[in-house]
Amino acid sequence: MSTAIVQDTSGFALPPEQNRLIRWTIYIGYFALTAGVAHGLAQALSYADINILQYFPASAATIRA
Amino acid sequence: MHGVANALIMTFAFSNGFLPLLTARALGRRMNGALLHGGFWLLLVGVILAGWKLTTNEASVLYTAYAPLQAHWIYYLGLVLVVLSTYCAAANLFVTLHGWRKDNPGERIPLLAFVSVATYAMWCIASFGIATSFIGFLLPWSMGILQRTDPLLNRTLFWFTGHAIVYFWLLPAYISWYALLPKQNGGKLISDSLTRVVFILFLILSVPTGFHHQYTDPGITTTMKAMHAVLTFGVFYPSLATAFSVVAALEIGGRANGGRGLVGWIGRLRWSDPSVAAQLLAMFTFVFGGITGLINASYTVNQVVHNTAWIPGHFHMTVGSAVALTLMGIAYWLIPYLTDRRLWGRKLALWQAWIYTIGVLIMARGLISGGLQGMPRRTFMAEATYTAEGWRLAGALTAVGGTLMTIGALLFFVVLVMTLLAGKKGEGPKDIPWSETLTAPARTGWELRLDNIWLWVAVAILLVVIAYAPFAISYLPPHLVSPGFRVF
Repeated sequence: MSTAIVQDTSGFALPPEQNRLIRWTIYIGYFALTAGVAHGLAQALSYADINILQYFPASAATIRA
Repeated sequence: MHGVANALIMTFAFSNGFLPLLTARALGRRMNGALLHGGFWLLLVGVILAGWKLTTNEASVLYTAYAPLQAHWIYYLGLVLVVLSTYCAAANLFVTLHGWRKDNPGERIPLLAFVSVATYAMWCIASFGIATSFIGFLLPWSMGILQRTDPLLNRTLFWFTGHAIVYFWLLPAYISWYALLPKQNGGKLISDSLTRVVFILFLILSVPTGFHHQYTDPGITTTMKAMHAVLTFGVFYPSLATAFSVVAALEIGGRANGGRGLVGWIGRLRWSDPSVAAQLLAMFTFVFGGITGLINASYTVNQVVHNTAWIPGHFHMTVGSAVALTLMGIAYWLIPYLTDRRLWGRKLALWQAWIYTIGVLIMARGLISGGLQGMPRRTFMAEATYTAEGWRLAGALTAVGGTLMTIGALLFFVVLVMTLLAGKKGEGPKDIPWSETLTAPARTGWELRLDNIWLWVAVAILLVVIAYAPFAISYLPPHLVSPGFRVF
């Protein structure tokens, strides 16, 4: 006999405020992913001797220092 | 920046949102509002602080934060807040489950809630190492309260957490593969009990494996390293059980959709659904990620690949695709569900999944072959003053694959942003795609004990003590010998 893995099969929705908090928590993750992907591209290209990292903010700070 | 943003913050933020949502749905209960607020604000402030110091080059310690490399104290504080946000999410799950059990005495915990709570229970044990390192050593050291620190102890504390953290990244993906993906394909989960056993094994075995990341470190006995090597192979068992269980659930769906023959059902899976395609492709890449992981864990073979480009080749097929691509696939129903908007650009989302997968396979091929020829990791090769002939093709493949992955990721952002801006309102999914199990949870017998999460937590802690106590006894007190260094 098949059994649901949730208690109430008829549906359940979180209150809008909790739904919003969960949504924005996940958005923070996607924002971080954006920054991380940009740096990931720089690291991948470096293996082909292409340096785009010099145009990134942290590298510019290093050069100024 | 790449490792911190993608491997730490992205995964933690996703778990902090996704698993409470699944638990609430499974138990039919709202979460604790204060803990949700607390988790969100701690995460946001932590990300801002850590990101500030990363982008001003005051945290050039890479994502492992190895001492004696030293970052600005605000960077460490930011990451402490990020970890505290995961504790808020964990507390929320525990509190919600406790309330449900009071209202439903004697009932089996719904499977979807059980696996979510087991994941955070594992993380609470695992994070002890990194919390001790950051709060007890790195933060006071970077603030000048401690003048020197202990590099080996901090590395050991990092890897206490560092291998189990892989499972904290991976288990939300496993939860989707077990509990949601079968439904998306018209299939059913094979066994309620097997699924609980798998997550209990991850809870017990994930942590006492850290020394397999320190095979080349001095100060840890060969016996201890060998013991952790064996336990690392032990934690491979629940992953194998997952492979068989999830594939069986998918096969049920493929055959229900008209698939015939030994492999004909694979083509009948719902490949046209970008959420499904992304997760199936993530599973495919994970086969290679798992195999290369076993090589890393082998005591002697590890010497060949240690600190080479092989390692990022391996983990881009685990966290970089099995996890990342699954989280993208989940987003294709999750964001429409949370916003009640229809997914924008389904075909583009499908292209995204394929481009990303092809990219990661090409890049991993480059990194792995380069690693076998001694190409180093943690090195910005464009500015390295040395090279080797065999690295050229490996480097080119890495660059081409990485570029394709970036295009895939950018397409993901386009689909996501356009869904938020232009997805048809009121046409999002009305429920999460929860699956059914073929057999109901047992009402009598030994299987009832599976729900006693605190018993399994106690077993896990006992095993951790056995695995780490000999090192602690022989090594402590800390050897505070090293000042901080900053190499770039």
